[in-house]
Formats: sequence, structure tokens, C-alpha cells
Amino acid sequence: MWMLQLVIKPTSGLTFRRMPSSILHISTYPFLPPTTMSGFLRRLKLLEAGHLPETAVKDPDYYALPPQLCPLGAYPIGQNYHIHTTKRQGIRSFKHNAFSRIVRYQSTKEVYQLHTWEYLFAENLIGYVVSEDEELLSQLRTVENFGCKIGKEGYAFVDMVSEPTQLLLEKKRAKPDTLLPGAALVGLPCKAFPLYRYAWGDGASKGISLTFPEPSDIKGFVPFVVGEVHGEIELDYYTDGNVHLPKAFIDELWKGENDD
Amino acid sequence: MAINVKSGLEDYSAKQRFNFDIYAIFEGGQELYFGHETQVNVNIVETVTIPLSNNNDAEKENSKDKELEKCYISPTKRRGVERRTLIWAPKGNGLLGDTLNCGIPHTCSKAECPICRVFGGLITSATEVENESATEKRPATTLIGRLTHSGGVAIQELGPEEKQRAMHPSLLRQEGDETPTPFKREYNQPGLLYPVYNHCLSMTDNEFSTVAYAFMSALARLGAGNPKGVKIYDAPLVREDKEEPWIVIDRYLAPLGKRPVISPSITDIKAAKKQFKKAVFSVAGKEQEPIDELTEGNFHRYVGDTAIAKLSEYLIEFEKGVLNVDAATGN
Repeated sequence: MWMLQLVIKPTSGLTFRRMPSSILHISTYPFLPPTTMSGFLRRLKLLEAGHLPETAVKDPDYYALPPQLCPLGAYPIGQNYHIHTTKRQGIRSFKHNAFSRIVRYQSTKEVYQLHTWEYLFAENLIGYVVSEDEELLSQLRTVENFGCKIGKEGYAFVDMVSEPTQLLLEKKRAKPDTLLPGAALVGLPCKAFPLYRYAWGDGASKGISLTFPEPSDIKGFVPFVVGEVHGEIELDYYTDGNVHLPKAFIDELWKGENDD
Repeated sequence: MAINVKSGLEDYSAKQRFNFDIYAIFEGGQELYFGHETQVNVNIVETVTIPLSNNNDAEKENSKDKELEKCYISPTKRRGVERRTLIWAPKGNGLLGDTLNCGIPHTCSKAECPICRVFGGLITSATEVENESATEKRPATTLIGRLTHSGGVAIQELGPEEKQRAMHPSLLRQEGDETPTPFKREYNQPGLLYPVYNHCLSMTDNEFSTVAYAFMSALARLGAGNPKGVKIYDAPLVREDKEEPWIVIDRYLAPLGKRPVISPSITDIKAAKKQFKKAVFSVAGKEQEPIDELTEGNFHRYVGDTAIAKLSEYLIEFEKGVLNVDAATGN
């Protein structure tokens, strides 16, 4: 197994909308989720080649990394993050222009509604992408210093990308560097989050070009539960001695490429 | 079936596109109010809590407090002010937004609209708008904005100040009980420095002229209530003996310059300026001699007064191209 480590530097507060979502309370995950990271990195590759993917109001296309590349998300170092909760006047209806009118009359329809909106503030996020294909993984190395809008709100750039590092599977007691899936968490106190992974279509892993703006073959999203533990835990890890990536989490994210 | 994989923007300009970034440090010249919420009779400003990292030597001595509370100019508020300066920009004897039938929250979302093309637009379901002569149908549309606002966390750890305010009736002669209603309001204190960044994705020079106009016009309008306005911080940047505005404009295909982004955990102005300056003159992995304009391949970086001069060229392009005013004659 090969791994790239990335340092992702936000230039603003970030919102990675927590799912399932509510309308008036927009909450954020305290980390960059794997699927968001996948879209972000693919977009940087497209950007590198000068492409600008199209989107739509209904059923927009997805542009993600191919299933051979498995992003594991990116995490603030230690507990160095803060969730900033703002109060915002949000829009209830879009069918008026009252909020930019200079002369305005009282109306019951053209009104704001109060939102709370969360932003993640962190100096850096450390992210991981793993793959069996070292050459394909290496293609991500050129995104260094490229930046783009990320998540629902915010902007980040890739401050550093490591060389591909080979990881070995080892059962040991260590502090996991990523989240853990529900099954590995039984009996452990942890912060749990519902998360999603891609349900890949049949053609997802064929004819991959990271820089050609062809939408990814994604049928939908599959929910699963993950948790964050702070201590050491005995598990199967892919490791180079420094980084410990739990096999169970990678297996969970990789499900669907092979079996459904 | 063959699919369309184009961006939808390709028909609107044959010009070369670039990525642009603006990095600047704002200085609050007076008290500023950026509302967060109203508690009983007190209007609170928005502050952010910044976790302290111990990676930075300059900050180590403060690390016993695990977090900092800092004043903040939220990027979303800056974006709102910028968009409104465009909607309310003078166009003949009218306003730009009125001539385009483009406002907030109804954005016209047309690829040819100079505002939506850059800031983005959204029509959630097909809509009809009243036009001068007839009704115009507008389909459900998403137009992705290619301008992202960032930064805004003040450098100094100087908390907001609470002031007593009152709404005084405008009577010359008072009759009966019309007494003023006192309330309290917090303000971001004068002299705070705010690093801010505008990131632009794949824009033509013409599109960037909208960003430049919005950025410069918004300076005097930032803040809710009164007073309003910030300036770009002045201090020696390229040369030790010359004060100039701390602003950097990047125009590039590949991001070869180190990004002058100030860590929110820094509270010392000197340390912040050092971090900014070091990045400004680092291009293609090398630290260069301080100079007004740095070039490497397609990467161009304009610094200080030169950045303002470059922005001014774009402002004139916006005037001529969008507001249709010839700066030389005023016609």
C-alpha cells in the first residue's frame, strides 16, 4: 500500500456541512471528510490543466478521484481547531431583490430567517491518500500550492505533498491518524459522526484521467458511522512507523469498488 | 450518448484566462461594528476563537492560554458589501444592478452579467421578472462563483470595546417623556489589522476588473452602521525607506509564488509582517530580493504601490467596459 501525505492550509474558516443536515443550523465536521477531499483534489488536478467543471441546479455531476485512489480525509493537528458558530440572516425566498433595494417597503415575504452557521478554524489539516497504484498516486504530487474553494464555504491550498511512502500492514497498539469506522469502536468512548462514502458505478475505475473533465461514475452515497478516539488502540494499521492508518477505515471507504 | 463536458462559460470570452489572488492587510481607521447577535440591549460584535499551535516560537510564551479571542471581519460580510457596491455602481443616471435586473437574493445568473459571472448566481426554480417592456422568463440556473473571500481574523489580540449609545429624538424643544433609549454596542477597536484574501479562479482580465472594482469600492463601506470603512495598511514593504500599501496581486496559471497568508495564531504585528513579507518575495521556491514586480514563467506578482497601480488599470477597464464612462472626459 502506498500513501501520500498532504498539508492543506485553509485561508479562511471552513464549512464541511454535516449530514444529515438541517436547514437553519448549518454545522460542520471538525475535519475534511474523505469525499470532500476527493472532490477538492480532483478539482485541483482539473485546475492544473485549465479546466472548469460544469455544475447544475438539479443532479449535478460529481468530479472525484477514481476509486483506485482512496482519500482518508484531513485532520487538524492534535486538538488545534475551533468551531466558530455565527448568527447569519439567511434568505427564505429567492424570488425578490429586496435585500439590495435602496427603497424598501414592509413585506412579510421578503424577510430573512435566522441561521446559525459553523466554521472550522484550523491552521493546517493533515490529509492522507492511499492506493495500490504508486504511479497514479504520484500524479497528485503536482497539486502543491494549488488552491480552490473547498467544502460548502472556504478556501484552502495544498501547502505540501510528500513523496509516495510505502506502508506495511501491522497489528499494533497506536494512535490512529484518521477516523475509525463503527465496528472498530465497539466499547470505546468516542465522538461519533455519520459519514458517507461513494457508491461507485460499473465504469468508475476504467479509463481514468485525473485531468480530463469527465464526470465520475458515482451512483450515490452510502452512509456509515465513524468515530474519533484520542488514545492508543490495538488494530490492524497500514504504517511506516510514523503514520498509522487503520485498515478498517480504508476497507470501509473502499467498499463498493469491489463488492457492490 | 455523448455528454457535454464543457463549463458553460466558453462562449463568453475568447480571451486568455488566469487565476488571480489579492492578499492585503486592512487597518481599521476607527471603531467598526460587525454584528454577531443582540443580547438584552447590547449589540455584540463577531469574534473568533483561535486555537494556539505551539509550532511557532514567537507564540510559545503565550501557549499557557490555549486559545485566543480575536476580532473578525467575516469574509461573507465582505462579499456582501462587495456585491452591493457593484449592484449600486453608477451607470448613466441609474444603477448597474437596475440595468441588469440583478439584485440580492434574486441574481440574474446570466453568463453575460458582469456581476454574476464572477460572484455567481442561483435561480432555484424558473421565474419571471418584470422587465421594462415585457415579462422576462429566467430558467432555474446555477452559475458557480469563481471568487472566494477569505481571511479576516485580526492580528492583534485586542478585544471589542463596549460603548454606551442612545437614540435621541430629533426635537429642538422637548415635550413630555420623550427620553432617549440607551443601549450598548461593542466595536472593533481602531488600529486593528486584518489580513484578507480574495481568490479568483480562471478569469479573463475583464472579469478580474469587476473583482478589482468591488474590492476597492468596498474599502470605504465595510462595517454595519456607522462609522464605516477601512484602509489598506501602510508601512515599508519593498524598500525600508518608503511606506506603501500592504497589498499583493498575483496573476498566474500555476501558483509559483508562496502565498502571503498570516497565521491567525500570530498576535504580534512584527511577527505577522515578517511572515507576510517573507512569503511575498518567495517565488518558485526561492527567496528573492525585494522588488515591486516578480515574474516567473506565467506567474506575475505585483507588490505595494505597483499592485495599486495594477488594480487601478483594472478599475479603469471596469469603468470603460461595464460602466461605460471614459475616465479622461467623464462622459
